[in-house]
Amino acid sequence: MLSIKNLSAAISDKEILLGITLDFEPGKTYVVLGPNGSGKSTLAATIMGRPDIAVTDASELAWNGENLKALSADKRARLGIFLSFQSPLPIPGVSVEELLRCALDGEKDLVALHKELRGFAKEIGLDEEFLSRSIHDGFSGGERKKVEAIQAAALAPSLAIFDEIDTGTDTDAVKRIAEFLSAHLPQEATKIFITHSPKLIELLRPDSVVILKEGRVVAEGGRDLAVKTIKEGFEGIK
Amino acid sequence: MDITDSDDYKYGFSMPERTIHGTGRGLSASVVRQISEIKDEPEWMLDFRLKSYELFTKASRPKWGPDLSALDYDSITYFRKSTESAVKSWDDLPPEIRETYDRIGVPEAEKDFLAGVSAQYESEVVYESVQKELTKQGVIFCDMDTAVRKHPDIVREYFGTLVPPGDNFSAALNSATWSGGSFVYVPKGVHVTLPLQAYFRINSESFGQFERTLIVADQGSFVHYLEGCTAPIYRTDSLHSAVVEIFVKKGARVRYTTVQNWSGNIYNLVTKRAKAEEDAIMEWVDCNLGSKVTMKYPAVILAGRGARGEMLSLALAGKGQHQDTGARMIHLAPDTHSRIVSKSISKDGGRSSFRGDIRVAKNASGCSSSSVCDALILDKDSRSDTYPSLRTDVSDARLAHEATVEKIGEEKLFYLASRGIGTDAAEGLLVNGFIEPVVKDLPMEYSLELNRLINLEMEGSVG
Repeated sequence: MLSIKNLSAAISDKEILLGITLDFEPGKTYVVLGPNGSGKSTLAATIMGRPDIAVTDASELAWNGENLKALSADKRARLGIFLSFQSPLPIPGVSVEELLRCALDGEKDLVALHKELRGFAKEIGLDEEFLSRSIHDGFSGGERKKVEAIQAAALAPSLAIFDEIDTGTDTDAVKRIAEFLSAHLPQEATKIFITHSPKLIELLRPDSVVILKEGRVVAEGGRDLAVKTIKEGFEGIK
Repeated sequence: MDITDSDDYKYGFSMPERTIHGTGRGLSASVVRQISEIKDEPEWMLDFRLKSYELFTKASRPKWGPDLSALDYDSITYFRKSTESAVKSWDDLPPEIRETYDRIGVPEAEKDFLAGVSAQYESEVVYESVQKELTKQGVIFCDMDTAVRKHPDIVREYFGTLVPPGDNFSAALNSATWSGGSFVYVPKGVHVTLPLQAYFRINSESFGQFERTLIVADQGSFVHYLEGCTAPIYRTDSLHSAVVEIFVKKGARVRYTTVQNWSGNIYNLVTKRAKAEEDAIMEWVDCNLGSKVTMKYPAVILAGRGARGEMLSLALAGKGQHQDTGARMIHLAPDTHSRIVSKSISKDGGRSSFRGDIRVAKNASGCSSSSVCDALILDKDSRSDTYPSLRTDVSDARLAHEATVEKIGEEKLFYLASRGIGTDAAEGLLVNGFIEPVVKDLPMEYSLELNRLINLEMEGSVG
């Protein structure tokens, strides 16, 4: 379980998260909603451990009882935490297959990985060549997000956070990505989706919805909260 | 300051006091005569050496580029028998060098050879079969000393004509004192399928300090010549001054690949030049990893219509190192084309400089040249400079130059970290990605070794 208590965080002295308290349970799917600038992406990056985010001493961040604040991002990833980026940068000369080979060093047979990735690409509707090209280099929005989803499947995380996996993709791609993830993410994994897309929410059928505004949690509820919020906007929520 | 001695002190071993078949330290006309005499050379070569020595004494040092003031020509031994070279035993090697050998997994026999402990590298079986095949095709592949004795006509026709002794101070020094290096002649229309490696010549002079290489590729032929290896090459003397001359005849193609990792005490001063005739192709692939200072600017003189020149360059400048490299493309004939791709990495206070020199002569219409110089700087103490020079005497030349400077971004490191990749491995991955456009043109085993070496460098474990 991911347990967040009184989490406050700043980026270059600008306070973005102001005392967030939330629990995320295994096997459940969460949707995080909120207007732009509400701190959704910062929350995701803070859980992952982005080094330029300063977390206050009073903040608590624990994964299955282990204090994450003391761990660097790569160590958190080794515990099974995964973050899909909203707009990942291209990395020239490094393909997604090489990246995963490095990430899964010694954990997965290389031939098996090669085969598995090709299977994933086919299933999600991505040309195989994107597995061996420089990652995200000249990729369209949809191609990027599919490559992010493929990494999530290959790494089989126990806590997977998707920061706008739907933006920049067409409706068909959103559907394929959602179906792909529900087929390949481990059942017992905690899944957190940051999104604005009613389509994605409909496909995900989340167990719980959290609404952030100005760095605070302003509402929590079931699927109907998401539907209502998207229809009526964030204005009404205090 | 005598850098040889200071480095000896640092590594804790002493120079051999006397050499049986050597010249002792320092350079003079009599030393030059002595070298020629030991080698039992014809008169013309002795004359060539002596004239070169004269030019060396008068030659001015470059007023640009790296600092060479610590280089003491009088403390260097200009010739010694290969068995006398370098260290006497494995234990005398600096520990960093030994550790690097171990970590990149250089086989035992090869380690001794590279370190100069052994003058023999036991690859005779491979060598013999390769040599047999070459002889059948009429290809000559031998060391330069042998070539002077056995193939004087052809050597005399070409030797020192592309890089004359007066070209620069380092070429003059090499011309006076040269020893070892390779001679290759490929007859008309012959395609040599296996890359020729200096390695096969199984004596330590192939990694000598004043090597001289001459390649003549006759019309329509093809050869790929490979020198060096990624493992560090250790020598006690601090100067490596080499000259390479390549003649690419009509319709022929030569690729010359260098992967060198000299130990950190070496001044590596190399003059490389090729002449490409009509429709000929010359490709330099040059990877410089070690040394204290490297000065090397391979050139292609595009002398015949339709000739092409290419330079793929990779430099890694680490602590205390200055890689001053470049490329020169001289378009003398119409419809000639050149391309330069340079990748440099500076880390731990290292400095890399790239000098691109493109010239298009009068009457050379319809030429094009493109240069891409990318620099990656890993920390704030390191430095990278690009010095492009484009000169044309015709109006229709298409010349393009592009330069980028990059730092390893926190954002990319965080992305890789979120996949479970730690900082050292992530930096290795990013650096290997950065150099990939050059590395992909290396033979498989070299590119794998290079990637491994880069990963080691990123761990900060290689001195």
